[in-house]
Amino acid sequence: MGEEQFDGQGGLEERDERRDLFRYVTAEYAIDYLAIMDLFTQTLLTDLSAAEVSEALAKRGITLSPESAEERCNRLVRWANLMPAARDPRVPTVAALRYTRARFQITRLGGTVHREVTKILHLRDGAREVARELLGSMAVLLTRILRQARQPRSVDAEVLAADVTTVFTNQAYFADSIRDFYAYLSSVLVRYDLAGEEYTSFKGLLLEYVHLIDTDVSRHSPAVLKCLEELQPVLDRVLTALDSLPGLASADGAPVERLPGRQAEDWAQLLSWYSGGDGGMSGPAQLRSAAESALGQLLANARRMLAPGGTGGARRSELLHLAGLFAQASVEEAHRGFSAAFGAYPARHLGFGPEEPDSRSTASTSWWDAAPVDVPVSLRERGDRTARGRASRVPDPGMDIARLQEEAARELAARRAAGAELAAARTLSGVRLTPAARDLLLELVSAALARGKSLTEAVRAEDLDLDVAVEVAPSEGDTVVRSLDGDTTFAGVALTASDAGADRVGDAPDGAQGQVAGPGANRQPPSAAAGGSQ
Amino acid sequence: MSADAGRPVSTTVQHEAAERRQAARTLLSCPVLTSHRQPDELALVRRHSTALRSTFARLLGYHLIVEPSFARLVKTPPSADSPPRTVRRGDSPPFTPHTYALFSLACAALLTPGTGEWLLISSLVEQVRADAVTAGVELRDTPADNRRLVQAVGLLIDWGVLTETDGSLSAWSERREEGVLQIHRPLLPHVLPRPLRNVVSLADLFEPMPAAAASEPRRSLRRRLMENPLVRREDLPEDERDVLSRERSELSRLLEEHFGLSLEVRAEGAVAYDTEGTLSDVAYPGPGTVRQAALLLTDALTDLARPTGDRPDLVVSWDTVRSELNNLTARHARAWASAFVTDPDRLRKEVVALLESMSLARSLPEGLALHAAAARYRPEPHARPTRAAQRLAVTRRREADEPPSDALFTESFLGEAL
Repeated sequence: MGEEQFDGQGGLEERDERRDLFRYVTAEYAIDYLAIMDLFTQTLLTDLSAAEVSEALAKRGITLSPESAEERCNRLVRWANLMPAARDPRVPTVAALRYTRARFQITRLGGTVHREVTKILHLRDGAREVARELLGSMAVLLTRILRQARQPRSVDAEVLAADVTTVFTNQAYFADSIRDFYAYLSSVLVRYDLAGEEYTSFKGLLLEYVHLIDTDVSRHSPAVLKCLEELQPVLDRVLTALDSLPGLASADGAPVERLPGRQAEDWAQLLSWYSGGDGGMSGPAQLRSAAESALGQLLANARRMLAPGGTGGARRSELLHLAGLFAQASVEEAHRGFSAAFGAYPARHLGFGPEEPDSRSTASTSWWDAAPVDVPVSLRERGDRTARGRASRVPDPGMDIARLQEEAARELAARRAAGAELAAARTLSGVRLTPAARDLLLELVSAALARGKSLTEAVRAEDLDLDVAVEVAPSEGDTVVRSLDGDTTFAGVALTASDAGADRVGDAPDGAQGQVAGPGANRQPPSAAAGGSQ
Repeated sequence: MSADAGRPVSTTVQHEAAERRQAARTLLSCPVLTSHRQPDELALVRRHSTALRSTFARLLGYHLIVEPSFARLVKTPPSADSPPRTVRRGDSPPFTPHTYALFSLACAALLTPGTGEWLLISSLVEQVRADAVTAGVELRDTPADNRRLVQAVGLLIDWGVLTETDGSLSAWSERREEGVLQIHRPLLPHVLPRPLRNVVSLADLFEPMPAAAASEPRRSLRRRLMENPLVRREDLPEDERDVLSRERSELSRLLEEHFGLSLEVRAEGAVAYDTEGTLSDVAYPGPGTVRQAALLLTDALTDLARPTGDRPDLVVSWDTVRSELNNLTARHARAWASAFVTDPDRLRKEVVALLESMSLARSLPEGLALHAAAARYRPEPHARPTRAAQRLAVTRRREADEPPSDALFTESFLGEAL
């Protein structure tokens, strides 16, 4: 934890150089480089010459001449993974001098990088257990630290230091393992090809495990948090006690990477992991939400894969296997195999047959004796079922159209004439009209009466096509219209005809009050038009 | 619903039953339905999903999966006596073993970890090529191999597992124009519905799934009748033959009620025929030169002789088949497709293949063995008048009695009769 921070431009450059530390993993001859770095990290304080490197590699089955070994080592020196061993060259001969100069040892950063690289290269690509038991011991350790801090006189600094270091190491290990586990979990959850037993075992394992972690965290983390919070006021005493122990200090005052827990920030970080400190989510809360979403995803997967009857077995490897089988199969075998494996073949049935079974044939009748089925004749004779033959003649409607048009024109002319006659008649009292004009009058009067709910004032109906209008006004007397086929009496109304365009011409005759407009102008009872008599 | 055009649908219950029947028929002829390709059919299936699920499980032992975006009827392997179901897309040649292999590879490619919902046609093809090496399938970059690959991926598109969202497969195959395919993720796990863990050879697949084990003679008989054009009596195991004879009326009722099929049992076997003519991938008798030739050939052969002894099959020598076909070709030379008129061997092969695909005939070294069911379609020399002819006769009689007031009416019957 807590690598020293870089700052400023110089820091950036140094960081760029540090990336060179990783080059040997992917460079050409990476195998050689890795083997060499292995040699150097095997024991502490190793320094080796190129010749020794060459020998040691030969034991491992890697042949590398001393010259190439030296070249590799020099390259590693350039990347700062190794450094030339600084030895007092008290040697008399040129050869011996060269021999001593060409000794190498590992740099600190080089060693760290190689340890990590080795770890990653050997890591198993699977689940990593979560060190959940550490949480319980953290709570115990923190209680002990707290007890010591509260009794400053009897502090045993050595024991305290051990406890503090253990707490922080545990925390780092726990956080790492949790992070790894959830990374693994998310990689499992996105897999579509899991199905059947494999999925079931995953489900059992993960559900149980996620639940376990969740309960452990919720059980222990409040205790840990409580201890940490109580420690805050007395933290200075702990730090002072730890500082009293002999430590490592460089002569030139350059920063030394100190053990965790020796500085107040370390403790603040630890506290904020549990409490959620500055607005962020606390570690336990993150774990819980991760567990929740993992469970949700598992359920969704379970539904997708298992709910519809435990199929979902579309498996990649099985399909590849199947492809191999098809490639070697015979034609008929392949057809049958495809139908059987995928189960998506269509049904096939003979066509045609009687709607109702023929009662004369029974289950023991031979097809040779039973009545044959009807097959459309066209299928036998032409091999298709489309209707053939001359279509029936479509009658020519020309004459009819002409006749209808003529009829319509005649009718229109007759109505026009009636309209003109009616319009010319003006006051319709006792006038003599043709039956056509009388019919038109009836039409218009009924239209007018239909419009007004009650006849309290004059109502007008008009037919613009025929250019005629009729005004119906309430009246005390009746209006009688004579016609060839009989008289028509309109009871209690006065009728006035006019051109449709004319604006209410024709005064109401016979004392009709129809012209008086306005509500309540007259109290004339509404009168319905009496039907005509013929 | 066209399946019930003839039936009067008067009540809600009848209407529901008719809809269920239609949905079941759709699933039987097309076991994979997706909302993208068959929205109306899927809606119907979803409306009746509960009833359909139990019907298929109870009657046939089939598993039906209905989800919002797809429906999948998982059929058990076809019985051994069924004709092979050749997969064929449109007019293209039927699938070869190699095409089936490529189809499996394409499915496997879609399951590659890290494949999302969309993928490029070219990356699918690359994945298939890579997997072909692993699986030991030879796949070269030749036009023939590429055509098969396109056919295989095309079948996935037909099934609705893949959808062309941009560009198209044909554009890719012709001009290498890139396209994007969308993967129907929920459907993908159900494409291969059964585990293949212990399958060492394709023959292992023909065994029924353990869930639908034997000792279910009713179900397996119903499956035979539901899926196959013809069930030969001699192919039936003892227990199924027993069911066929004892429970014929119940069987007939179930097939009619749930699937709209009519059962016809004869001495030589049983047929569940489809009066609608829609529940079959091969329509026979049907239109086209080959089908007409097949029908006329069986007419001619059933005229010649009847099977002798206790054989249910009529074995006709290949020479007779050839000469009869030649006669027919000569008679219909003008109407038939010229490709067949000029190539009698091809015509004979296709006619025999068609009859075999309907289980009506079998090729033997000594000749063609025609099953008795082919006699179903024999023409009647003194045929009972057809229904149209009967109606016509009635009209004529009436015409004689009454003044010819309904001339138009009679004319329409004449048209039908012709």
